[in-house]
Amino acid sequence: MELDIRNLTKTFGSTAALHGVDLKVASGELLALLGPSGSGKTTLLRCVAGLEIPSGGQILFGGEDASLKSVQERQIGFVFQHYALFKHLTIADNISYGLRVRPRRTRPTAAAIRDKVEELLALIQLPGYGGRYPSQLSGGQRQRVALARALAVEPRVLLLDEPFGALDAKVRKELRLWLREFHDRTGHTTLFVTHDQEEALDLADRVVVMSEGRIEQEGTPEDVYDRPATPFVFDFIGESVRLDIHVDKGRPFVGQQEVSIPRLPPLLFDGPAKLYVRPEHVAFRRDGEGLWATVVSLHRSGSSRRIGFRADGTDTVIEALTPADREPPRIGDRAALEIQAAGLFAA
Amino acid sequence: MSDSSVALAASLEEAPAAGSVAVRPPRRRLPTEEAPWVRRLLITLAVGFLALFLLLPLVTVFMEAFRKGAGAFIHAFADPAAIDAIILTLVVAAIAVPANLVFGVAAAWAVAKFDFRGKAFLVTLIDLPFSVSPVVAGLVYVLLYASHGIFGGLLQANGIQIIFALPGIIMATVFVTFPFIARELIPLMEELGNTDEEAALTLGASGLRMFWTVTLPNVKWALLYGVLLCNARAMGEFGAVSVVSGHIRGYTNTMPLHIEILYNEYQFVAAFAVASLLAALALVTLGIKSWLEHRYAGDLAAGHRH
Repeated sequence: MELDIRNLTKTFGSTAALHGVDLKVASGELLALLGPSGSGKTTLLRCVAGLEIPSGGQILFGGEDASLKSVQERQIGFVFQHYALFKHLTIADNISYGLRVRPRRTRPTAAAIRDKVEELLALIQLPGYGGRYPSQLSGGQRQRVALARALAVEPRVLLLDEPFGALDAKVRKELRLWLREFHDRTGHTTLFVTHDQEEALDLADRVVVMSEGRIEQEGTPEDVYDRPATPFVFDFIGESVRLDIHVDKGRPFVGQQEVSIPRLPPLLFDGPAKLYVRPEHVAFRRDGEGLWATVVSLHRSGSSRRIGFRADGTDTVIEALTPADREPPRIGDRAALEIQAAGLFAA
Repeated sequence: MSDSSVALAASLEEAPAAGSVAVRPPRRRLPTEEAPWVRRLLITLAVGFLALFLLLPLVTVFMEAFRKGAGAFIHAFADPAAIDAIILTLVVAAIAVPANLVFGVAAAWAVAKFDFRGKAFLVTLIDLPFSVSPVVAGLVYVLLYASHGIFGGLLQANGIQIIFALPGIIMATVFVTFPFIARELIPLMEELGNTDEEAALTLGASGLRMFWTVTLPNVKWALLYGVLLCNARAMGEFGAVSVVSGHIRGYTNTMPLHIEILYNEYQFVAAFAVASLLAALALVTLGIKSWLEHRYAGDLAAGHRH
């Protein structure tokens, strides 16, 4: 089921949580809503679910307007950060809850419900756990049960709100891989909210980066990591330093030195600007052409080494990443920096 | 604590046997541990206070009730006025407690699940019966509903009697016992939040279905606990009921009022016999409450006792 969100706005009292969001989700897509807290990603998810009433705009499920439908009518599956399993019910009763609350006409028979529960328990790799209670399960197991419970009602869209947020780092990674495989097998249109960029880039087909109630960028993980569209995305995803530079006659200058940056679109403005550079895009040589700088810091972390340079005429430290086994320069050494990729925005 | 001191003592005894220096190190106290005499003093104070002010009166009630033997005790209940008082008390509790169950759940739901203007005021209002003297509550009802009261004319014209009748007694009891259930539920429901309810709704449950299958099971122990406390207070309420009842023997006398009348008429054995019944009711309530607390605490901690 494809999803079409049109000009969606939401205000809480006098504060706006969403400013006219437009987003299309293809059928079977696994899409991540990524942003810091307060960026509106959870509000957007809850509006799609029908748990929040939007202040304006439309939400279409498969071309059909669902904006005015109640949460029950939307037939979505929702997975909460803290699982929200019913702790007085067994795992089997939790999973079958959505089927058992149906009106008699559409409710499956008891035998059909039992079969469905068994099938789902097998799918989440917890066969034989039906008689236990949620408190007897680990966090990762509970989250899988929550997923099974959401899937039992055969939802048209699966919505996950920080699904790994309450788990420890190791379980988080395992469950993330598991969810990716699970999605590839079941193919539900899935939206998940996260503030963890690694999670979003690792798991999603497409990432939507949000900030302050607006979409900053949407694209594949490669798009948002390699070609950040806005200063916010550069700051938020991956690592980068910001250099205050100057554009003169369409050419960028760091202090008095002109820098050459490959694949930069033509600069249509003059004046102060901001240059965002990732450490892995900085190369250095002891001689030749480039941005001349002095080594100011050396820092070994695991298999790589970070070298801090201060370019002539600036105060900002530009970091470069090199393998740890490569002979490092010494503090105070001079080097020519080559910036292999960067983002440039008018200040 | 006692285990570790035993272990310490054992190791100290072994030390001289091994041939080392026989100087016993001074027994060291934890920073949070009081000196033994302080501990003894505090325990004596607390136990003495409880014995003098709580236990002794309770024992006295039963002793006085049986002072002239079981025959006199039973005779006290042969009085039709006593039976009427017991029945009235049960009827009042049977109406006031379910009423407060409904109001309490509604108020707790409103406070815990919604944000609205005047919420803080509502919470304060719920506590009002705790802070205001029950006599004042009774007097206000008289002022409002008695024949010379504000609504008196209207009520009289329609042939409705509230003050000096059952409705007034029930209203006064509802007023006094209102906070017990709401106060028990609000903190728990606030802590639980909305997520379980939202999960039920996304799975297709109707609001009512969600309430019965998710909200109510989540708060059932707290609710039962609140109902018990509310019931105990409803049966024992004196002040507010005293003002609105009019003390009509066999008609508007509840058990506490009946006890007062008997006492004032120097029928001490009969007074204490009825009083012992009230006290026994309170003890049963307390017993169930402790059992519930035990069970309910386990429910919250482990979450898998059913």
